[in-house]
Amino acid sequence: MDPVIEIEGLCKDFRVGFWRRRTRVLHDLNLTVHRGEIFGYLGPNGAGKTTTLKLLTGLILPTAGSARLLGRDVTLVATKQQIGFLPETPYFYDYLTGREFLDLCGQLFGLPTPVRRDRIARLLALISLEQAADRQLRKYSKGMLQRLGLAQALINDPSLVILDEPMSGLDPLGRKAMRDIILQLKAEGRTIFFSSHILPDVEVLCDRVGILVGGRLRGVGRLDEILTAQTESVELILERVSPDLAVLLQDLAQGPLLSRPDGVLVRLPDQERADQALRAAVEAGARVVGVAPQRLTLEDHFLREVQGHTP
Amino acid sequence: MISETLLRPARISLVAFLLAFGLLVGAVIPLHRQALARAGHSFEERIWLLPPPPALRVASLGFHGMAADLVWLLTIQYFGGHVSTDMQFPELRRMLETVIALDPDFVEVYSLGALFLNYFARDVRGAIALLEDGARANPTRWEIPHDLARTYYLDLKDSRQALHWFEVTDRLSGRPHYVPRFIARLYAATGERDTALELWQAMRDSATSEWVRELAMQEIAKLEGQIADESRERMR
Amino acid sequence: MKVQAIALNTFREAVRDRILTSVLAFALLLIAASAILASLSIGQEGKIVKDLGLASSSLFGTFIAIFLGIGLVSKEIERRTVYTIIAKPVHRFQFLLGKYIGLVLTLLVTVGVMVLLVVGLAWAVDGHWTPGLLAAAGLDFLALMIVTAVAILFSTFSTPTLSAIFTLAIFVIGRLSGDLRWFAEQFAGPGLRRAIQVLYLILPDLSRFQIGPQVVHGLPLSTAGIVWAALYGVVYILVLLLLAIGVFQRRDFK
Repeated sequence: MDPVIEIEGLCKDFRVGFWRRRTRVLHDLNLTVHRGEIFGYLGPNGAGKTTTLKLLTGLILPTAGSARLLGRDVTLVATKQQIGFLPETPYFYDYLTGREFLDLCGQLFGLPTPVRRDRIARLLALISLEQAADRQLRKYSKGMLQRLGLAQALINDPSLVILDEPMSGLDPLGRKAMRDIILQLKAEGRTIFFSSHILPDVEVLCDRVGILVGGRLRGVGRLDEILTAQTESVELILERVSPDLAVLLQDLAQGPLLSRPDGVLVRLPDQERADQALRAAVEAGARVVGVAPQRLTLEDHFLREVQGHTP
Repeated sequence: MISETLLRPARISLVAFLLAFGLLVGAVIPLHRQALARAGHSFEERIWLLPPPPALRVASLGFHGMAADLVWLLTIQYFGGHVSTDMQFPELRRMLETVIALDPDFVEVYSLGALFLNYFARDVRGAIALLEDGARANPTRWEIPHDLARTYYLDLKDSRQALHWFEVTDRLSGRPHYVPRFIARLYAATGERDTALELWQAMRDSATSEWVRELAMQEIAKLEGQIADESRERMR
Repeated sequence: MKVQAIALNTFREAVRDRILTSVLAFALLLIAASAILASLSIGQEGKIVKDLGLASSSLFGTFIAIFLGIGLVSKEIERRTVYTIIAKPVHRFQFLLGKYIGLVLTLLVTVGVMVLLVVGLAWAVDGHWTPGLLAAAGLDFLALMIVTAVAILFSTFSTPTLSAIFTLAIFVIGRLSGDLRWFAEQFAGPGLRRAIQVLYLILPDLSRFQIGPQVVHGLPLSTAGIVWAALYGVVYILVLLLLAIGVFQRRDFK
């Protein structure tokens, strides 16, 4: 599993405010992303996600530390030959048509004309913009621009694709299409590194995630490991609960029982107590209406990591 | 309520348009016409307000030629205006000096300006001064010393000065063919008959056209006649 | 190839900008009107048409150069369109050169049209060609390229408004160079004279590129003078572009 992104001790300071005070925005970032995986880069607003992505793509220069993409230092221009980048809320030359814009991007990668023509045709089909290809970008909707942004990120057939908030500006149909494309890119063997706010999408797409809070990286790991390791409570819904059983259940649940139309809701804090409760209920002759393990969502994990940082 | 009906949005808009139209017809246009009526004075005002040449030069941002052209056009207008009215040109000299300060190579201004000053403004000295400035600034142009010579001869009746300037003209390329003849005649007129004779003889010998040679021979004969008369007088 | 792509793209942007075509139309109108103005003179139509024509193309060209030049880089940074370019395998200096060449190309076409009109009008008025006009316009274009380079330099680190003010100031001082020196010699005290001398040496002397008056008066042109001026111009442009590259190379695009 060779590393595609290697970030070591990366720090970034900005000079902020009237007195140009030096503020550290990224603290000693260390991160590795492996070939073929989809990595979700999460964090609250202002955490430094976009700053990290700009450092990786050479829009910003690092204050300390280093980063390598596909084995080459990010500060070298040649490194970008194999990278595709979609900036957040992409801004393009609005006097160009979609086709002209993609052609310009292709030229900047040094692609010869026939290759450009071929790829542009295929990409326009992929993002369903063939109809609007010859309209000026100033007439494009936000969603159309986002899709075009993805196209320009793919024009050089990159092995690493970096996306900053790829779902922004897309309606539910657009988001589904974007998700499908990302999965397809992974199937083609590419590596995807993207930052996002929309946790449900991340849950669906990512192999690994990392959460950036206040310029520091925390909670990096495989998504399935993070979430299963912290399986939370189990909810039981029972009928015909006798008073004695109720007392026992309350004791196990360490909390009150809830009366619901379909029965009594018992929230057990872990699997063990849930098993005990189930056995007790069956023995007492209660009827089990439902058993629902409450898996930790990514949102819970996210909130915990973020709130853990903020005092 | 009355105020309610009056203040309805469409009504307000209508009233606003009516007011605007009324002001335009009743106030703006009459005021503008009054300003235009006073415009007759403004041209002269503009002339008086013409900044001194150094300031104009700076203001023209290096486009001296164009600035000179524009002031020259103003000058022509000024001149034409006063020719048809009072034949008084108090600002003419200053304007001409401004033009040549901005563009000393503007040869026509010296010639035409001298003409204006001399024959219209009756300012021969001014014309001479202008032409002398021009001769200094454009030493290779024959037109200016030629005008000087003519002015001295015709208007100031000063043959000596005329002669000097014709000789200057003679040295410059492109000068008219008659200049050497004028020089010779002037030498004769100022009593330098021998020099005149030599010059006519040289012209006769180098003449390329028949009528020039004949003219030279005529003048030679005349001069020789005068010289012979003089010596006969002395002999008596 | 990448520089070319960016240059052509910059050209395309300028051409598709309606403001540019409006300014050009206005300039052409003004130049044509100069022919009418010239008829007020008594026989100097040729001089007036040429003087006004050359001055108009020069001034309008400068106006367009400053107007487009100050936003060349800063607009891209502000609108974030620069992200799309720099995230690709393009050197920052390639981007800068491309933008500069693109603007120069735009000016060449725009000013070229104006100059053609002037030459045509001069021919109509005079009855014969004045080839020196092209030399005068050509040398003035070099001065225009200097002003463009100044604008792009400011554009790399300053806001459009400030860039406009500084570039305009340098343009004015540059054109007044000769007069400033004369002024200093005439009036200034030793301290001021020194300051003006230093200023004169560092800032571009745009008055060297003015051979219009000589052409209009039909005076002989000094080939050596033109060559030296051209050399000065090229070197000065290189200095400005190198400075711009230096600044731009280290800039963070926040």
